[in-house]
Amino acid sequence: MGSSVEVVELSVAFGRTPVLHRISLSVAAGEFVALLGPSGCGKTTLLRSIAGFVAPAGGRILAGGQDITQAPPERRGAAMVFQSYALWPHMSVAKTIGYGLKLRGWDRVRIDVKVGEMLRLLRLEGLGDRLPAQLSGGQRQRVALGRALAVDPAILLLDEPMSNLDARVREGVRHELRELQQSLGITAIHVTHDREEAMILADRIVILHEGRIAQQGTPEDLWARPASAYVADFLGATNCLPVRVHDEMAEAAPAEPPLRLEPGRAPPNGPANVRFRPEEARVLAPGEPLDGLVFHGVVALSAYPGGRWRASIRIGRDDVLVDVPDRLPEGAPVRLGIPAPAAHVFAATA
Amino acid sequence: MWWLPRGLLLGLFAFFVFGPLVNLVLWSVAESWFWPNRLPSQYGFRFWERVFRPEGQAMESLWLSIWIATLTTLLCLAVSVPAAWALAKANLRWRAAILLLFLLPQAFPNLPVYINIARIFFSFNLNGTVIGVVLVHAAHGLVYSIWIATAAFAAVDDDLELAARNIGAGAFTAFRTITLPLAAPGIAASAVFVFLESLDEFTASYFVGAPEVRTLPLLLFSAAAGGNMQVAAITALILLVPSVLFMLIVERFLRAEVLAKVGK
Repeated sequence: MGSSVEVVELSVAFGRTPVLHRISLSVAAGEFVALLGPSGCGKTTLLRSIAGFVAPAGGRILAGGQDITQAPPERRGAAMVFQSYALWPHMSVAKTIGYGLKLRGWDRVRIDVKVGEMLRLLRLEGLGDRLPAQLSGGQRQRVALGRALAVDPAILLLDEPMSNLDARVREGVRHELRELQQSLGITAIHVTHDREEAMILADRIVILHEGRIAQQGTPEDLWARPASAYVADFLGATNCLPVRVHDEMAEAAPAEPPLRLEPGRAPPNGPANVRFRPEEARVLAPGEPLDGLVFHGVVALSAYPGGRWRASIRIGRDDVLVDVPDRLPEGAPVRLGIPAPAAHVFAATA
Repeated sequence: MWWLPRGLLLGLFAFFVFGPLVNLVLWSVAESWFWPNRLPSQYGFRFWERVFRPEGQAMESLWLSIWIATLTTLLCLAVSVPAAWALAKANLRWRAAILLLFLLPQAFPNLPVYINIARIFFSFNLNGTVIGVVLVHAAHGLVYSIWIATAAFAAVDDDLELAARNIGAGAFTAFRTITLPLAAPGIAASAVFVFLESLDEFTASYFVGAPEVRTLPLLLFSAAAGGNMQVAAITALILLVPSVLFMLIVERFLRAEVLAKVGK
């Protein structure tokens, strides 16, 4: 069974460079949390602090209610799957998976049984005698996972474990990992820069930005209500157009009706930006009404990435990308509609 | 017509490498070889017999040399394994300076250094003792063993050891089961170098060890100096055996990645 993890005002610095700024985070027992962010945001440092590989400059870390801030890595009950897998080149698959059990004083028969179980669980049967160099990328990843899971850890730490896998293999592994975590009831903290991976795997996503938590919540919640332009951009709302905000109303094209913003989410009066995803905007027929923001522009380019057309539309001095069902002729004037739930408006400076 | 210059070059090269060896072999089986003869006038194994006779000194010297080389190697390993681990992994502040320090004995001309060591050892009664010779060989061998072992440890990714710590291994267990075995080929190579250096070492042995401690190179020197070319040749051939053997071993075990990390 998993145990809870509590990070309290954790600060980490490498030399004089601060990496984490008083981060607080709590993970419930059995929960799957993804730490999401671009490289350099501190997500791996946070994970390695929990594992005990990085000494924090301040703050505390608790596992299952116990303070483990000063505990050495071997006394934390946390097992990590490394990005590089960190498999031991001189040790066979079976020895690698049995390593932690041997340390715990298990006898050989029991170790063999448990290792056999892990090999079956991870679909590595018959590969027990192989060395890491004789395995494929996907097999290595499963061995690394097996080594961590064999010791029945209370906490599983995953450091971008899928970044070295083929896109096709990754797809399947995600679902397997989620299933495994749920059936074992283990607490999992997963570091990734892949938005889709985080959304598929996690109960809760924590988005990090320059050593601070930018936002956390369920995947649906973050998707629908990003709290800042940074989060919106990271979650795929890469299009950005200028609007004016006045009394919680956002104005786009002068001839179109303004959009009433959700109370509490509206930025202060003045210039602002609307961010939206290419797949959530659409091109409106002439005169078609929409509860949302409407811009007037011209088709600059159409491309076909597969399944649907992707049009680049020029609005004023900005270009935005929109998914449309049919090819749009270049130079054609269009009305671009962003439905209210898809329009994320933030103050222009943010 | 390209084979002609190529063949000539190869022949010349082979002559440079194998010529002296052929000469050694010839001398070792020459029972009489007088100027101006190009080749010995009489062949035989009389001198081999003499060298390998129980009362002959060669075998005694060989065993003594091997014993000294073994002790030197063990002493160097005892110092270099922990030192190299610290230099490679412990983020020491004076890392580069410490590594350079071990190069110092090589930086000065050998003779004055060894004469001074002999003088210092004299006051400690170490001259003419096996321990004295081992110590002076080790000072020389530590350069190889520390530099190569540091590179070997540096070539082991930190995450490999952390992966072991992570699933319950204490710091020492992780070192013993992961880092040390992975660095072992490099450390073994450094040990071989130290062993060979000690086996062949002449200058320091001469000043610190002679005449009580007669290693094989010292025997070779006195045989050659005394005009006994046959005994000198046979001694040299005996010295060649461990060198060639170990070189073959090193060549198999020392990986290019480890060599690439020397001095980093």
